[in-house]
Order: sequence, then structure tokens, then C-alpha cells
Amino acid sequence: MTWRAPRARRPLVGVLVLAALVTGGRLFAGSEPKLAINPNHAGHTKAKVDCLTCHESIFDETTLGQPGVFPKEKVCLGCHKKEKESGNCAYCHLTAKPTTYFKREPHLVMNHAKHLEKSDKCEVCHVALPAVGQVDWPVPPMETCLNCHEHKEQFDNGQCIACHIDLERFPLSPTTFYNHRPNFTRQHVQIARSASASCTACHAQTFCADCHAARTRPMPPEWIQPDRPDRNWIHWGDYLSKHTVEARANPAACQKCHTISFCTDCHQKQRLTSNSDNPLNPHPASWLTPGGPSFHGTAARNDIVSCAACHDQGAASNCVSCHRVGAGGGNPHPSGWNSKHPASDITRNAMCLTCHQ
Amino acid sequence: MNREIFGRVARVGPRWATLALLSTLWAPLAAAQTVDFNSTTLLRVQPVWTAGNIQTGGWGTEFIGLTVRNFDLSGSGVDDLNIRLSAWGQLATLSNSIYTGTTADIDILYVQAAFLHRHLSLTVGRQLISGGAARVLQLDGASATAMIARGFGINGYVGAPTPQRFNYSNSTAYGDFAFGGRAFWRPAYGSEIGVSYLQMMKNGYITRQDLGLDGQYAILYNLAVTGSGILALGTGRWSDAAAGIRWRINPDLEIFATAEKTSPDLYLPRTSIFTVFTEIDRSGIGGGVFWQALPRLGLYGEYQYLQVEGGDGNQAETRITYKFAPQNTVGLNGKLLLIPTNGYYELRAWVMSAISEPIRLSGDLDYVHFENPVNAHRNSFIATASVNWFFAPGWSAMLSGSAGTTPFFQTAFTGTARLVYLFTNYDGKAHR
Repeated sequence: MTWRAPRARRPLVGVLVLAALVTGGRLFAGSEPKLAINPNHAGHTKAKVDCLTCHESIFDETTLGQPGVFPKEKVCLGCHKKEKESGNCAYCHLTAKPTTYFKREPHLVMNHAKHLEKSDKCEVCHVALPAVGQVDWPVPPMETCLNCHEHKEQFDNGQCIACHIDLERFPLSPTTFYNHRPNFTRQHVQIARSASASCTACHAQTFCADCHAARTRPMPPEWIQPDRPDRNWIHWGDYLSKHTVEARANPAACQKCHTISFCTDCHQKQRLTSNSDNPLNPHPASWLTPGGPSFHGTAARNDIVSCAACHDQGAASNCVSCHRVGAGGGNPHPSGWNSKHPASDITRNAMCLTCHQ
Repeated sequence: MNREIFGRVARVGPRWATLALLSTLWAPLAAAQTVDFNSTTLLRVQPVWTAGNIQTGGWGTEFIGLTVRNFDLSGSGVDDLNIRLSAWGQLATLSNSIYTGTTADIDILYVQAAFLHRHLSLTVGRQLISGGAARVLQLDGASATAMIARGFGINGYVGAPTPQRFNYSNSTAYGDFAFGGRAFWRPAYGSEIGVSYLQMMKNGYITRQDLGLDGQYAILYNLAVTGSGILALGTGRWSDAAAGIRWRINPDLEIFATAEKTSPDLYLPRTSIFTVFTEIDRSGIGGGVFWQALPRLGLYGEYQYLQVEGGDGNQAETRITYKFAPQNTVGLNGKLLLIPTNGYYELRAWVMSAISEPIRLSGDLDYVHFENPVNAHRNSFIATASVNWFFAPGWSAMLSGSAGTTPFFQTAFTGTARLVYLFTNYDGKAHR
């Protein structure tokens, strides 16, 4: 038998279910673990308490995440027994329901035991220590490691795995000249062309494919993520109108992702191509008048990609009917063409034979 | 011979891809330490403009991603093995517009293995070849990268360029066979120089034959210069060349300068009749600055002087962001692009706000003014609002709607509903 809420109570039940889902979601939603115990590193340092008084087992830690590195309660009570006995839990515990230290997945190859054999001065690496309310954990930066470990061979070979367990799961935000701040979407082109190995240290090709697999993707990324207006997507907003300007300002930019057939095929649907049904003529009146203000020859010399965006139908392209050898359209080649393209080229490219038969 | 084989593979793409997908999903899952899976279900309604007729179309799209990695391979001679998949399927209500029809495809599907202490890496399947003359080439084939010694290395690839899916005639596909490679030297971290070559063919004719030169030199860890050029060997002209310098003066201030030149006609395949009519250049030079003026306030500005068809042009972008609380940001973006034939000014105000841990709101107002009319109109205005709810570990649901008036739509309404699921069992343990 299934329980059903009485009709009158159904809205109330709905509201309660929604509220439960929202608060439940709040509990479930992933967030960074927060400090549950106040280590008061500043206070301990001021009191000249040696790090190893609390973290003695660090001498035995060969990999990060080994248990016992953080002091157990009895270590704290060695000095702070009075606070516990007086019920002053908040002296150490930051949450009403006392919890233990949170566990972080180890993401670095780090052998504390070996490092301590060289020197037991923790501050060589740990210049700053975690404090309550701190936004970012003061993990020693990579420069600290590189002060002693050159790792040239690993750098040269892109073998980050020598120290980083899994950069894909634990990516680092670069702080060097290729930090990813504000317009990196546009600026990464140059860096990726010469040093894509740096990118692949953290990003797999599936990440790149979100934008760069334009040949197969059914929609641009901004259609999938309209909730990320902070990202400087290329096709944001009314790109249909803007593309008429963008494509002329940088015709090569479109071709980097879309082949010219992508343009012609959409324009065919818009009846802008000569082979479409009942084609429209978007050209001005003097388009075919030599010497006229809008003569197509001048326009084509300036922006041939725009011509191709509608008229590239191979041998059926309507340029051929006038510009082939012996027709009235004249020689369409730019000056100096023959010096770069000897007559023998004609037989090597079927496209040439369209006019030079 | 190879060309024929890869051409055939490209033509039977969907069948080949389905078989490859099925074989991929089977056995490796159990043996892997890490399986990452994501699913995005998208329902979208938007108007479509076709030669003056406006229809409202509906799309239902499912994107999936699967990564299988961190296999236990001890003693096998393989140092690393991973399998990656990114694919989608779609149902659409319209049949006469772009992005329509009931269809599916694979964006990425490859198996990658590393050998010889990761000095040799092999990748087989549908992949993205990036760097040097390849730019970013989506390829069905194989690639290999070898790190030789002292920072020297080489990579090579061969296969069929992935066919462009969303075209109707397929009349001007770029090629059915491609091969190339890049030799490089990394003298120090952040510095690299490379020489690359790409040849693409279609029906036996060369459609692209490029030689690439590229380099990056990190003068300091926060200062680097980059340069690259791709020479189209068939014409002896540079299809693109660029140089830039980036300097992060301090953690809050960064400046950069760029110069670039492209020959757009060389981006057309050499088998296109349109490559014989002209030789054109497009150049741009400029620079910009980013300044984190206050911990919460970021300022960005960029300007480029352009030389384009028929004259000069100007392009500028500005961006102001203010983080008024953690996960709460407002921004104001400005852009202008002016060229001899037309131009536009764009102003965009946006906000992202987490009203509670699981619920995020975002909004966006976008206004564009065109110098000359586009479809007889000069102004475009679109407002977008979204709500995203992270309702369970790994799950989120989003609703988004936009409304506006543009040169092509007197009134335009778009609606998007999205359900996302992320799963990983990193290190053999389930996480969501």
C-alpha cells in the first residue's frame, strides 16, 4: 500500500520536499574541506614549541597521507588538559560536533622522512603554516622544491609524474607567464602551438575537444554552459548577427575550426548560394559592372574567403563559367602568379583543369 | 595505399566509431584504478532563421565522457595506459537547418600508451593533434611522441582528417589523408623550439602542405616571448605568423603585446577554385594589460590595430570584474570591432551568484550596436538568466532562458535545461 498525502496538504508536502532537497543538496554539495581543529600554529611558534613536539611521527612518513602525522588528542592534552576539563571545547574544536582531521588525497610524491635526514628544520620548506580563516592552504610552492631539486631531465621530458601523482585530478594553477588569468581563452593559442606538452600535463584531449572538436560537435560550448557568462566564449550572445563582421575582420579565424563547407552549407540553406533553390542575390547593383563602385572583382581580391563562403561548389562554382580560359571574364590570377606556378602545376591539381582544359 | 585505407576509414566513420566505442567500453573498466564518467543531458529550444522564415526548433542532446586510466601495469613494459571517449547523440525537431536531424558522433576516442619510462607515447583513434603546423587537427589515425634525450623529441602522426559533420553537400572536404610531425627541443622549462610539417591530401591531390616554425623562450619565470609561423609550401607564402611577449610584472600586474599576420586565402584547401584569384593579408598589432587593482577588483584592457580587406580596423576589449563575495562576481565587458565594411560596439553586464551552497544564479545582459545595418537593423539586445542546482553528490540541474531582439529575430526566446552527472572512482574508491 502506498501512502498518499491528503489533497489539502499536498502543497505543504511539496514545499517540505523541496526544502528537504535544497538543504540536503547543501549537505551533499561538494566543497573544500574546512579546518575542524584549530592548530594555532602562530601561538605555538610564539611559545617556541618545536614542530616535532606535536608532529613527531613525521620522521617515519615516507608518503603523504600516512596516518599518525597529525597529533592525537592525548598529545594536545599534554599541555591543554585544563581546557578540556573546564569544558572549553572551542579552545581547539572549531565545530559544534567535534570531528577529527579531514583526509586529503595525497597528490605529491613526498618523503618527509628522507628530507628530515638532511635537516629537521621544517621552516626550510614550510615558510607559512595553516591558520584559521585562511582561504588557501599555504602549501610550499614548487619554487621551494626547485631550490634543491633541479629536475631538469623531468622538465625536459615532461615527466611531471616524478613528483605529481595525478595532475589531471589535482591540477595546479600556473603562476608563471602562462597563468590562466583573465583572457587566457584567447591567449593560449600562441603558447599551445609551441608548448602543448605543458597543457597536457593537466588537460586531456577531451578537455580541448569541448571547443576544438568543432568538426563533430553539434553545438558551441556557450549553448551547453549558458550559466557561465564569466567565460569569454567566442560565440556568446547574438553571434549570428556579429559573424557578418567577425568573419570579414578575421576570415582565417573561422577556418581554423570550421571548413569552408560549413559556411557554404549554411548559406545554401539561407538561399545565398547560386546552387540553392530560388537563390537570393545579396550583391549590390554594380556588382557585375567593371570599374563600378561595388565591382565584384575588387571585392574578391580583398576578401576571397567571403566569396568562397557561398560559391565554393567545386567545378560548379559560378566563377568558372566566366573566368575559364577562353571565356569572357579574363585572367583572374593575381600578378606574379605565373612565376610561382609553372604550367606543369596544372596537371598536378584537378582544380586547375576546371578552367585549363 | 595508406591514403585509400584511411579514406575508407573516414567514409565509414560512424560504423567504425560505434565498433570502436563498444570494444572500448568492455574489459578495461574492471582493470582500471580510475574510471571517470560524465553525462550531460541537454534540452534546448530556440528559434532558427532560414532565408527569412523563422521556425522554433527543439533539440535533445546527450553528451558522455569516459576516461579509463591508472591501470595496474606492473611488469607489462607499459608505463601508462589510458582510454578517452567524448561522444554525443542528438534528436532534433527540425530537419532543414544546421545542427539538425537525428544523429550522433564521436569527438574523441583514443587509446594512449606510454613505454620506455614514458619516453615513448603512442595514441591510436580519433584524437586532436596540436602544435606547430597541425594547429589543432582532429584526426582519425595514429600518433607517436618520442622524447629522445636532453630535451630533444619528435612526434609524428598519420590518418584521415575527421570529416566535418554539419554540412549538407560535403563538396569541399579538406582532405582524406594527412601525415606530419614535429621535431622539438626543450632547453629549459618553459622554453621550446619546434619545426613541423603537415601534408594533407584529397583524392590524391595535395590540399595543404605546410612547414611550421615555432618557439617559446622563458627569459624569466614570469617573462616569455613566443613566435610561430606556418609557411604554405605550395605558394611560398606564410599562411600565418605571430609573435608575442607576456610579462607578469608582479602577481597583480601583467602586460602583453602581440603581432600577427594571416593570409586567409591560404586557409582554403588548395583544391578550391577560390585559391587562384587573390593573395590577401590580414595583420594585427597591439597589446594589453591586466591589473588586479584590489583583491576583489580585476581590470583588463586590450587593443589591436588591424589591417584588413580594404583598409584599417580597430579592435578593443575591456573587462572589469568585481568579486563581492566568494563565488559571487559581477562583470562588465566592452568590445569594439571596426573594419571598413562594418563594425560593432558591444556591452555586456553579467553576474554570478551562489545564493546558497547548492544553488547558483547567473544573469547576463548583452547589447550590440552595429555601425551599418545588419539585415536592416542596427541593434541587438539579449538577456539571459540561469539557475543551477547541485542537488546531490555529482549531480546538478540547470535551467536557463534568454529573450531579446536581434537583427534576425524581432523577438527571440531560447530555453535550455541541463542535467549533469559526474562520477569518478579515483584510486579505486568511489567519489562523486
